[in-house]
Amino acid sequence: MRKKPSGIRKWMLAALAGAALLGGAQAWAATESGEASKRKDVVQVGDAVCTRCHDEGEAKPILSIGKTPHGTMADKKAGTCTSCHGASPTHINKPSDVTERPEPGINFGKSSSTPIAERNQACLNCHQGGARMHWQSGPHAAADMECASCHRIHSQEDPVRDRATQPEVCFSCHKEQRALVNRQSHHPIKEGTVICADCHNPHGSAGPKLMARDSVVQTCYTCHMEKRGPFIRTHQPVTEDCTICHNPHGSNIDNLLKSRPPFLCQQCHEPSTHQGNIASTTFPANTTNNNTLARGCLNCHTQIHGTNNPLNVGNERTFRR
Amino acid sequence: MKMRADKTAFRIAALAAAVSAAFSSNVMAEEADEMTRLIKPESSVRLGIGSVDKGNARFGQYLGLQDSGVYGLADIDVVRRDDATGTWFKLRGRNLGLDRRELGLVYGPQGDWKLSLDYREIPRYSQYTINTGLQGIGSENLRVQSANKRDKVLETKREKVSLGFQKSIGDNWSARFRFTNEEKDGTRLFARGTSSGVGNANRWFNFLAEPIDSTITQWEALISYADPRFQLQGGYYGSHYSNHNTSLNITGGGVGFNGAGANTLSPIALAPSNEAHQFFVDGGYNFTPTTRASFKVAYTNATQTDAFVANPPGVLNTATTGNISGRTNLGGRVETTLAYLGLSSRPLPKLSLLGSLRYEDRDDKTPVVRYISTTPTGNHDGTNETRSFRTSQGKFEANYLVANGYRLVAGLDHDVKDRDTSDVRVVSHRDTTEETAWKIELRRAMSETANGSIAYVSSERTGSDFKVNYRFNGTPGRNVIAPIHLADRDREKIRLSADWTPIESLSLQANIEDSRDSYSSRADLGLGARRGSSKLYSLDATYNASSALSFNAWATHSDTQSKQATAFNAPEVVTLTAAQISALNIWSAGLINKTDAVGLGADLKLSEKLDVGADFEFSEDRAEYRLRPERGVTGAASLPDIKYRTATFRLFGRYALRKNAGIQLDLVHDRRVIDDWTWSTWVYNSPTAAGDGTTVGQDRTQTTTFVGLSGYYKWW
Repeated sequence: MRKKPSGIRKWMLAALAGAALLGGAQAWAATESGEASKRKDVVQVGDAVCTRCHDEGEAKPILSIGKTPHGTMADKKAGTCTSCHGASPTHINKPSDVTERPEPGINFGKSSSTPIAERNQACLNCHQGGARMHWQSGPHAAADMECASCHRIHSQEDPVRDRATQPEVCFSCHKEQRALVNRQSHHPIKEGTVICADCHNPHGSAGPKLMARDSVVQTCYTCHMEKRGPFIRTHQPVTEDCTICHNPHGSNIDNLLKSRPPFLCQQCHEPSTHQGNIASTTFPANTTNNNTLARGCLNCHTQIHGTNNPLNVGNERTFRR
Repeated sequence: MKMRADKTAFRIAALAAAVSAAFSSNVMAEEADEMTRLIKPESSVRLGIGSVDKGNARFGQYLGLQDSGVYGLADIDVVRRDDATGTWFKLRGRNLGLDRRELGLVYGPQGDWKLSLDYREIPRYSQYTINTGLQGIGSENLRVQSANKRDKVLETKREKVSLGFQKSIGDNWSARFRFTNEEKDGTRLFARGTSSGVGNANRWFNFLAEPIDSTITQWEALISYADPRFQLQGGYYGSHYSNHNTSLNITGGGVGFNGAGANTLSPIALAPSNEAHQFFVDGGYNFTPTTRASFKVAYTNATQTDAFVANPPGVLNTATTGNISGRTNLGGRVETTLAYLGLSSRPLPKLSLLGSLRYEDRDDKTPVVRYISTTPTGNHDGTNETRSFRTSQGKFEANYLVANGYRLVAGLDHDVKDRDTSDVRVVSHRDTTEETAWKIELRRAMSETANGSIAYVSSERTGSDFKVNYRFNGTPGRNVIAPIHLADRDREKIRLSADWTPIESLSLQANIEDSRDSYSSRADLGLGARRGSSKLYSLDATYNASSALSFNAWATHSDTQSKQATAFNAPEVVTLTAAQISALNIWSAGLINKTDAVGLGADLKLSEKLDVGADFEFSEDRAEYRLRPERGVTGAASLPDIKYRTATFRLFGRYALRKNAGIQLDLVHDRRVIDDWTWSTWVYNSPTAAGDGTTVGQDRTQTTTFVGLSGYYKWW
C-alpha cells in the first residue's frame, strides 16, 4: 500500500509545484514580451537571446559550445553567437509579414546561402594570422572550402584536431591518400602516431603542397634530419625533393619507395657497367639478381642519401660506405 | 604468452586513475545535473586490459601490439575550466599502457597565457624476422659470422618531449616559444655488398644492423602582431641533429671487406650531426575587405661540421687510400633563402582572383675540396659535390560565377628550377627545367542537394640542353638517359567529382581522376621513363537512418602504370651514331600497381544504455612487373606479381551502467596475406666461407585478434 506523503513532504511538493508554475509562467511571459535581454546568459556573453530557443530540445542545439574555448565567458575575446552568425535581427525577432523565420545573418554548412568568403571571414576576424596567415592564397580557399567543412565549432571534440580522428576528416576528400595509407609500407597515419597536420598546414603555407615547413625537404627533415647533410657525396634528388623517390602516403615497396629498385634507379642512371642489367628474381644462379632481390641496388649502395666518408678505400663515391 | 602490461604501463595507468580521482572528487559523489553535462567541459578516464592472441609483425608494427599477451589500456582526459578566470587545465593521455603512449598537459588562462607539455612515443617494429649470426647488434662494432644464428626483430623507438609557452601582450601582440626534443633509439636493417658475377670472389653481401642513437632538438620562438587588418610575425626556428654513433666498424665477413684493400667496406660512416638556424618574417594585410596580400621571407643557415671517420687500421692519408684534403670535417654550409607573396582579391561579387609568387634559393656554400684521388680516366674528379637548387614559381587563378550556380575556374602555374652540378659526372644533368601548367574547371552547386565539378589540367615541362657527361680527362661518358625529374614531360589530368544528397538521410560522393604522362627521351632513343598513367575511382555513401542508426560504405580503385626502358652498357660518346643506336641492347619494363580497397561501417544505438559499432576494411595491392626484351636482349622475363591483402574487422560495444560510467568491449580481427618475393629467396652470402648466410623473412599469412575490455567514467 502506498504511503501518503507526510505533512512536511506535502508542503514541500506543493512549494516545488508552485515554484515550477511560477518559473514557467515567468519564462513564458519574458519570451512573449520580448524581454530576452533579461534572461541569463548560459555559455557566451549575450547568448540569452539565442539560448531562449536553441536549447537541447531544439533542432539546432547550441549549448555544447559552452564546453569549448568559444564558450569561455571569462575571455572577452572568445566571441559570441552574433560575432560569428551576425546580428541577425530578423532571425531573433521574426517580422510579422513573413511566415518562415529568416535565417541568421551568417550561416554555415552545406545548405548555407551565405557566400563562403563571408562564412570564413567570420572565423578569420579573430583567427587570421599565425598558422592561418596564408589561408586566402591557399588551395583549400581556392576550392571554396569553408572552415566548418573540417571543424566542428560547437562540440568539445573537434575530430580534425584530434590525432586519432584527423586523417578520417582529411580522407573525406582525399580518397587517393585513404587508399595509399593502407599499403604495406606507410607512415603510421592510420595508427594515429603520424597525422596529416604533422607534414601539412591545411590553412595555407609558403611551401608547396601545403607543407608545414617551407619545402618538402625541410618538412621531412623535422623527423628525418639525418638526411639533411650536407655530405661529401650527396645524392642530387635528396636535396631537391624527397618525393622524387618516395611516396610519403604509402607504397607496397619497403621504405615508401615509388618504384622497386632497379627500376627506380634506372629512371635516372646511365647504363654503364651494371646499371642497365635486367631485373631478375632468380637466385643465386644469376648475375643480376642482386639488383632486384632484397634491397635491390641498395644491397651495395647502402648510403643512398649521402655519405660523409672522405676515404679513398671503398667506393664511398658510390654511396657504399 | 608474454605479459606485456609492464610495470611502466600500470604505473602510468595508476597515475591516470589517481589524477582523475583527484579532479573529480567533488562531483563523483553526485551525478552532474543535466545543464552541467551540456555546457561544462567533460572529463573522462578509461581503464582496462586487452589481449593479443598471437605474435604478429604487420598489425602491431606501429601499434605496440606486436607480441601475444596482455596489455594495459588506459586513456584519460581531464578538462577543467575555472569559469571565473577562464583558466584551463587539460591533461590528455592516450594508449598509456602501450608503447605508443601519449601524454599532454595544457594550463593557462584563455586569452592571456598558455603552457603546454607533450610526451609521445612512436615505436616501429620491423615487419621482418632476421635469422642471423651477426654479433654486436645495437653497437657500432659488428662481427659478421655464420655461427650462432638466431631470430632477431629490429626495432626503433622515438620519444618526443615538447614544451610550449605562449603569452598575449595587450590586445594585439603575442609571443610564443616551443622546444622539442626527440630521442630515437634502436636498430634498422642495413648491409654492405660488392657486386660481381656469381663465382667471383669479390661478390659478397653481408647483413648488418645500423645502430640508431640520435637526438633531434628543435626550438621556435616568435612574436606576433595581429589586428583585423594587419598581421605580422617574426621569429627564429633552430634545429639540431646529433648522431651519437659515428661509424660502423666491422670484422669478419671476408678479409677483402675489412682490410686496407680497394674494396674495404669498413668503417662505414654514419649520418653526420648537423644543425640549421632560420630567421623568418611573415605577414598579411587586408587592403580592403575583399583584397589581401600575405608574404613570407626566411633565411636559413645550415651547417655540418661533424668530424670525419677515422682511417681504417693501416690506412694512411695518401693519394691512393686516404683522405687527401687535409680537412678533418666537411665544413658544410648551405644557405637557403625563401620569399613568398600571395595575393587574393574579389574585385566583383562574382569574381575571385588569387595569385602567388614563390622563390627559394638553396645555395650550397660548402668548400669544394679534393678528398680522394682519381685517375685521368676516372668518372669523378675526387671532390665533394655541392648541390645548389633554385626554384621560382608563379600561380594565378580566376574563379567566376557564370550563372545558375556555375563557377568557372581557370588557372596558370609556371615553375622554373635551376640546379648546379659537378664538371665530371656519371648521371645526366640539365641546368634548368621549366614547367607550365594550366587548368580549367567547371563547378556547379546544382542544388542544395547536389554539387559537381569537372577539371582538366595540362602541363608541359621542358628545359635547357642536357650537359654532356665527361670523364676526368675530358673524354665523354654515357649520354643516353634523361633523369625522370629532369626529362621533358607532357601531363594531362582530368578530375570529376560529385556530391549528391537524394534524401536528407543519404549522401553519395563519387570521384574519378585520370592522368597521363608522356616523357621525351634523349635523341629519341626511347630510354629512361617513357610514359605513365594513373586512374582513381572512388565512391562513398553515408546513410543516417535515424539518430540511433547510421551506415557508411566506400570503395576505391586505383591503377598506376609506368613504362620505362634501359640498355646494356651504352657506348661512351656525346651522340650515338646510327650504327651504335641500332646496336643498343634494350629491354623495357611496364610497372603496374593496382589497389582495391573497400570499407563498411555501422553505428547503432540499441538502447539508451547500449551503443554498438562495427567496421570492416579490405584492401588488396597488386604490383606487376612486365619485362620485355626489345632489341638484342635475352632473359628479360616478367617478374612474379607481388600481392598484399589486408582484411580488418573491428567491433565495439559500449554499455552505460549509469549516465557517466560504463564498460566498453573492443574486438579487432586482422588478417593479412602476403605474396612477396623480395626477401623470400635471398641469402646474404659469398662464394667463400666468409658468407654469413643471414635470411630475412616474414610469415605469408598473419592473423591477429585483439580483445579489449575497459571501463569508463566521465565527470564534469
